[in-house]
Amino acid sequence: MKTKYHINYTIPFVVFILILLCWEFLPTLFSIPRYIFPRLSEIINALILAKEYLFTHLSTTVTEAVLGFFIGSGLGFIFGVGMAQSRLFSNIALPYVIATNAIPVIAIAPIIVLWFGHGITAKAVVSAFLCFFPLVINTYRGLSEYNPIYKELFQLYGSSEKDFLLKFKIPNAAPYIIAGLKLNATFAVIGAVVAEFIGANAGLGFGMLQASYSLNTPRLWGYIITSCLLGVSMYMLIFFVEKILLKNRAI
Amino acid sequence: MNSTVIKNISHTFKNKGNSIKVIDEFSIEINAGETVAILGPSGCGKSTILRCIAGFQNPTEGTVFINGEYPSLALQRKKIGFAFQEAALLDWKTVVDNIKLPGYIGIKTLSEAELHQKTIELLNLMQLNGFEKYLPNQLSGGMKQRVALARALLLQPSLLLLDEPFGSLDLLTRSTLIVEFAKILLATQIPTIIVTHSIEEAVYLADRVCILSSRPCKIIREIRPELGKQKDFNLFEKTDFLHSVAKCRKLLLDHWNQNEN
Repeated sequence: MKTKYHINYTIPFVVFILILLCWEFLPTLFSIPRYIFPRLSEIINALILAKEYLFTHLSTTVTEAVLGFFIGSGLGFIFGVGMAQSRLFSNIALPYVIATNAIPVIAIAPIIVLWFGHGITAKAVVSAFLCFFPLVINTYRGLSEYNPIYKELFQLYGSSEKDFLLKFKIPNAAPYIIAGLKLNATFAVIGAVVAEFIGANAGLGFGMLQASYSLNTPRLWGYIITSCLLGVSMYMLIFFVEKILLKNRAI
Repeated sequence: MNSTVIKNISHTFKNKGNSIKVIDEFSIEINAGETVAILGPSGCGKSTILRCIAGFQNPTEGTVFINGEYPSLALQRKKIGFAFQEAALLDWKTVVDNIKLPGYIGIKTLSEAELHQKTIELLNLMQLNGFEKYLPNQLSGGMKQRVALARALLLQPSLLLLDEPFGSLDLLTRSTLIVEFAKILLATQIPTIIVTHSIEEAVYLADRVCILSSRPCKIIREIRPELGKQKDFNLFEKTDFLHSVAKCRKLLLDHWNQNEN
C-alpha cells in the first residue's frame, strides 16, 4: 500500500518536472524564435521585469473575479432554490437561465462594459454572468433529486416546507452545490480576464493585450500563466472547503 | 389509553381514466400494548393501508382515528412513529443526531434535556452504545434499521407503524432484531401495526395477524397466535409458533389457489 501511495504522487511530480524541462529546452533545440514560443526562463524573466505591473494587474483581477464569483454564485443559488421550490417560477425562469448560458460571453462583454464603464464593476458583472448558470443548474438538480421517502419522514413530524428545505434538501444537495462552486472558481477568472480585454486600464487581461500589442510574447505568456494559477488557486480553495464541509460523507 | 380505530377504509388509485381499487373496506381497532400484523402477498396494497393510516394519503372512503384524532392532526402533534422499508437516515448526521431528528422538526414537544435523556435510553434499548458518533455509511444494514427504529420511538408515539422494517436484512440479523423488538414493544406498550410479507415475522411479533387477499386487499381472516407476552429465540422452534405459521401459510396458499383457478 505504501509503495502504491508513493507511486501515485511521485510519478505525477516527475511528469510535471519533465514538462517544465521540455518547455525550457525544446524551443532552443528546435530553434523556435522567442516571439513564437519563449523558453520558460524567458517568461519568468519577463514577469520579474514587469513585477510592479504584475501585482497591480493581479490584485485587480483577483478583486473582480472574487466579486464576480460571489455575486454570480449567490444569484445562481437563489434562482436554483426558487426554481426547485416553485414549479411556476421554474417554468418562467428556466428558458432565460439557459439563454444566459447560450450567449457567448465575448459577445455580451462589450455591452456590459458599455453599461458599467471601464472600472471593476463591469468585470465583476461579466464574471458573475459566467458564474450564474453552473450554480443555478447544480442547485436546482441537487434540490430536486432525493428519495421521496424523506419527504414522508419530515411530513411525519409536521415539518413545514421551509424546515424540509433547510434541514434536508439543502444539506442533501451540498455535494452538487459545491461541484458548481468548483466550476465557478475557474469561470470567475475567465470572465474577469475576458472583460478586461474589452476595455480596462488594469488587470491581467489588460496586461495580456498590452504585451501582445508590443509583441512581448514572454510577458504575454507570463500573464497567461498567472491567470491560470489564479484560477487553480481559487479551485483549490473551494476544494479544501469541500473537504471540510463534506468530511462526513462518503462520495 | 392509546387506541387507533380504522373504519371501512377503501382506496382507489385513479390514473388517466383508469382506476385501480387497492383497498376494499379495511377495518381494524388497536389498543395500547397490542401489535397487529398485516400479512399479504406483495403488491396487494399493504403499504397503501399504512400510508392511509399515517395520513400521507387520504383514503377514498372510510376514516382513521388515532386517539380520537384525524391522522393530519396526529401528524401535526408528532404522535405517529413510522419505520420505512429503508432506514432513511440522513447521511451527514451521526447516529445520535439521526435519532434526535424528530425533536428538531415541526412543533417542539420535548425540551433539549428530555431529548437527550430519551436518546440515551434508546441507544441502550437498541444496543447502539459506542456507535453514537458513527455515520450511517459506517453502519451495517441491521444497525441502520436499529437507528431508524430508535428515531421512530423518540417522541413516544401513540401509534407505531412499521412498513416491512426488517425486509432488507439477512435472515440472522432479521430474527435477532425481531426477538429484541418484541421485547421493546412489550416494554413500551405502544400500539403497533406492522406490515410484512414474512409469515414468521408476523406470527412472532403480533397478537393478531390479519391475512389479506390480493388486490383489492381485504381481510380474509384474523388469526391470534396467542404465544404469550414473554418471547425469546426458542419460540421459533415451539410447536405453537410453527402451528400458527402453518395455519397462516395454508390460508394464503388456499386463497392464492382459489384466485388462480
